[in-house]
Order: sequence, then structure tokens, then C-alpha cells
Amino acid sequence: MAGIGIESRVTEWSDLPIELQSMIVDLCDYSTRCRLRAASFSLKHLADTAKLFIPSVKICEKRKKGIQLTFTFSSDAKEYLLKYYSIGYCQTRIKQLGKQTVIVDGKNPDEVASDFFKRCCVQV
Amino acid sequence: MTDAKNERQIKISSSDNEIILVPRNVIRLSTTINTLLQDLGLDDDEATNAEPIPVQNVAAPILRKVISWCQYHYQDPVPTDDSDSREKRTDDISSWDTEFLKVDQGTLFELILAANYLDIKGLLDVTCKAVANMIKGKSPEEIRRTFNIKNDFTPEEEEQIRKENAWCED
Repeated sequence: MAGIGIESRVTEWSDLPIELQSMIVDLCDYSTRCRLRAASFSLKHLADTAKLFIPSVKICEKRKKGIQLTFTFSSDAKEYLLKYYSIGYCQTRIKQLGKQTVIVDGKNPDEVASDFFKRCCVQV
Repeated sequence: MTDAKNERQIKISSSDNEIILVPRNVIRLSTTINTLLQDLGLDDDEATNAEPIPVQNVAAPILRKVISWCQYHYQDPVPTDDSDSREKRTDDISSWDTEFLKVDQGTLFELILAANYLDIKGLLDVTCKAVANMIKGKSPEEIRRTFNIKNDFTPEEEEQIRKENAWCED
């Protein structure tokens, strides 16, 4: 270990064993984990495998209106509402209030919604 | 806090061979040293151990900092096992710990490694929370810059992740 300037090399994130990195990611909220998973492969893996607490989730399938997913990551945090619409064969539009619409090719709304939810649930 | 100075002292040595005396009750927070003392039968001894307990992975400056944390916290109530408490908080760091953790990033990581090696749960918890708080609110690029992490995604992979994350971006 380096320690308060007694050696030249400073200890970095990459010097922490995976178990400790994982312990830190466990403490991050979901939006922070999303940013972590966009930083590097190893952080993506850590964020995707860290345990996650989801106190509430509602999935609702509405005829012609697609799939509606409502959830929260903390009992006192905001509720997210995502809407998945089919816009043709194997093409899905994801809508969320105040956010840019996202188009996902090659998947139906139920597949896109379940993929998303699996990404969350695999961590529980 | 009661005065720990008149209690039995334990001699420990750092990785850079500095010998440090620490009150028995203070170093009790380290499960590693606690178990070692018990296993070696040194816990029954009233006197200070002649041969110091080697703490091979921790240099003296960090070890002194760890001991100062233990000195402040050794009389804290034993934390309950929070493994069932699945909603984790990082905003509950005490003001003393906040001051204690005003160190450079390298030292903070050293403290995490030392707390893990010495098995001091409270110190490990609070140092990990401090790092989690450093990550919070940062963009992927800021995270890379802060922690010296290389972006090893292809532009296509980055675009895919950006799509996956679009819903939670502020």
C-alpha cells in the first residue's frame, strides 16, 4: 500500500479487490449505477451484478397502448414511468415524460420491457 | 469516551516496521487482531506483548489513522447486522467521520484496504460510503476522470448503453 505520501504510487480504484468495488457499487442508487455501467466494461459488469433494492414495481399491459412500467428504487424517491409502444414489426418506442424518445429495433414492447426489468431484477 | 490510555496496551507493527502501541479495548474493533490475540493465547496475558503483532499490509501513516478512528469509535454500540436492510443509505455519515475522511483519494482507498484487512466493519462501511458519495451525480466521463478508468467501449457499445440508460438520465 502507498499511504499518505510515503511511496510514490498513489492507490487507485483499480487497486481495490472486486469484492470491495462491488461493496461500493452496492451503495450507489440506480441512476448512479447507470452512469457507472457506461464508464467501462468492468464497471458495467459490477453495476449489472450488484444487488438492487426495488420496493415497488407495477407492470401493466394495455391494448393498443403498449406496456406501462412504473417503479421506484427507494421508498422516498421519485417514481419512474416508462411506456413501451409498438411502432411496426419488431420496433419499439420508449416514452418517458420529459425525456427524449428512444427507438429500439428488433424487439417488441414486451421484450424491451422485460429486458429492462430483467436488467434490474438480475441484481436482486 | 473513557480514558483508554491506562488500559492494557497491544504492540502492533506496520508494514514499514514502525511499532505502535494501542489500547486493547481500542484494537478490539479489529476482528483480525482480536482473533489473532485470542488464538495465540495473548488475550489472557495482562502484560503488553513482547513481540509486536505484524500488520503486514498497512503502512504506519494509514495504521495511525485507522487507530485514531478506532479510538473515537471503540465505545460505539455494536452495529446490528443490516444484511436484511436492503435499502442502503450513504447520507448518514457523522460529522466526525466526515472530517476524518477529508483526505486525498489515495488515502481513502488505503483506508478501505486497511479496514478490510483488519476487518473493522464500521470503518469499512463509512469509507465505502464516502467513495459512493464521490461517484454520485457524476457523468460516465467524470467517473472515468475521477478514478482514472479507461473507456474500453467501442462507439457502438457506448451508443447501445446510452440507449439503455436514456430513461434515467437527468
